[in-house]
Amino acid sequence: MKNLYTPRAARVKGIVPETRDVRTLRLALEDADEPFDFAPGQFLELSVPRVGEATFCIASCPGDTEHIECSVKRVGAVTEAIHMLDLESLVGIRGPYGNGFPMETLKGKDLLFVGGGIGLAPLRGLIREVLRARDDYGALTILYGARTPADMVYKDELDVWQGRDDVRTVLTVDPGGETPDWKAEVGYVPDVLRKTAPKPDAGVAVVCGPPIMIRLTLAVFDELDFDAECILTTLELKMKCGIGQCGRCNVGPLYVCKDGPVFTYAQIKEFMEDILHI
Amino acid sequence: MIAKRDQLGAQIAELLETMEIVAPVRERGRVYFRAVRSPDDIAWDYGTSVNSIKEFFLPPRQVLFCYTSGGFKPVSAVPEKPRVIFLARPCDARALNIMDKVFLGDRPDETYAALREHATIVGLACDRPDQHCFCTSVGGSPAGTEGMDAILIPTGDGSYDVKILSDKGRAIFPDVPGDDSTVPDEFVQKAEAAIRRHITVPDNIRDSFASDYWREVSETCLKCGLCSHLCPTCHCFDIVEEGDCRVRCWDYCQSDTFTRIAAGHDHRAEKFSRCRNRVYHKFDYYPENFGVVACVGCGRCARHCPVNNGIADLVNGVDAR
Repeated sequence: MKNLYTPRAARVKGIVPETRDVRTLRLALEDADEPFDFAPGQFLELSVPRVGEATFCIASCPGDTEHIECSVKRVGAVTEAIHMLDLESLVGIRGPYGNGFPMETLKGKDLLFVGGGIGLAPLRGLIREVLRARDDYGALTILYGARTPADMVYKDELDVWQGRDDVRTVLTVDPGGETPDWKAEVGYVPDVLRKTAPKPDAGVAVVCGPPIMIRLTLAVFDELDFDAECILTTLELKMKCGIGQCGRCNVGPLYVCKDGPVFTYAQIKEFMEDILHI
Repeated sequence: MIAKRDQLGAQIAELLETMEIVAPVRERGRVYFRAVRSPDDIAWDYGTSVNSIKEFFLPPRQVLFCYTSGGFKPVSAVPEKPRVIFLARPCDARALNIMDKVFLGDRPDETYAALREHATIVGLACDRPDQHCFCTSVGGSPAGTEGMDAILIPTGDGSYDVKILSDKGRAIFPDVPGDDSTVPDEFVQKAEAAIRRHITVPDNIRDSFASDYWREVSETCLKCGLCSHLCPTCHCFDIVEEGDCRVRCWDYCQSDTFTRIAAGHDHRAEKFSRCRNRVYHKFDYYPENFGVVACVGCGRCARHCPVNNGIADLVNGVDAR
């Protein structure tokens, strides 16, 4: 008898080093005829045989038909094993899971993306999707920060975004992380956001990064008088099943895996202390 | 229809030829639900059991799949023989309906669904509650039939009034006329009056979320997980690697690894936040999501807690604020 925890076999088709501890995997399912339809913002469960399974957002967008991409930071047993994989290594994929970004709601609006570190991964799929239909959206601003210039992921893509005149890209590194040739901002993401002072009537902000960055960034949006309904964040809490059954990724009555990972700030505000405990 | 214990025992012996029979069994003075080999194993007159019948639907350890040279081979956890759970208490039977909300919802769990389909629940109306039982406070009754296929109502002389509640129940007791499935009022009233423990869930429980109460009441918790493992509605699980296979096993929310992620971040690193989440999950979030409290008042979490920190006290204490 089948069970929904048995993954689909996939192979590593590409490995892109991003930083000293992040790499992006390009994955292809062995049963490529079976669809893997996903929306930007959804996630998958990636298995390394005999090591384990962990949750990763899908960093590519639905239009990237050749591969599914996940960016993986080396922090624990499973991610360590993922970093040891070679081309053509066997992995397992379950999913896609989660709600994804509300694309219809975003259409026609100005969008402000705020990302920190590896938290750019889920935003990247969304930004790609938005840029594929650029005319459907208003002004686009990308605010991205990392500890140091070397810790920035998707450097080629950042260059492309910076080169476009229809996207405003603001890059920043943490104080002390700047190098002599660093020309952009120096400051933590929430502080740089406060300085750029986006207008609260503009559109929708989408935030993703480490818990402390999300928490402080949302606080800045409060200061700037943004409507909590117009701020989206994508969360990642410890999860195992991906389908709302194993019981550990809840935000109050909501499950990150099933009702999220994309939430409005309004949805999670009541539980900030519980889930973004810092 | 009234049936005597030895008549029912003879029937169990017959059923054992084609089915697995799970029933209360006395072991070193305590009662556990186990697969029995003979009707003689059955503890007919038990009061409460240590374990619930949860493990026959959500196995404590279940191999999900094993690795093969080129992929993943699923493993079935469903036994060949169909199962009868015999003499389940109303609280435990009702808990299955509550767990169904999670496992038979929009993404049905194949194993759970098959084990549910596979099993017939023959209940035993409860005339032996103890001081920890509070089923009537959380929507249940010692004479409740929810989740059962048939119920035996003790008539006091080693005999039982057998009532049929479903086609599965009829298949077990083909000779019992199915025209009357109501538990007699007299039994219901007497049984419900025997429940001495009561809890009140405050309507505004969410207002106590930030209270220091949770720090105070969680202080003595040993994080042993006994409450979750014995709880008939606790369904949280872990998925782990065991050699060449991946295994799903029970987990418990008071553990300090429950929400810890790689690199050590843990959004519920403090014990009080885990205790609070457990209470809110059962009495606030679950009702919000599924319209029912995730507690059947079986009393196990208090009866067996090494520091006497059962959920009834935790809930009643909120109200005192």
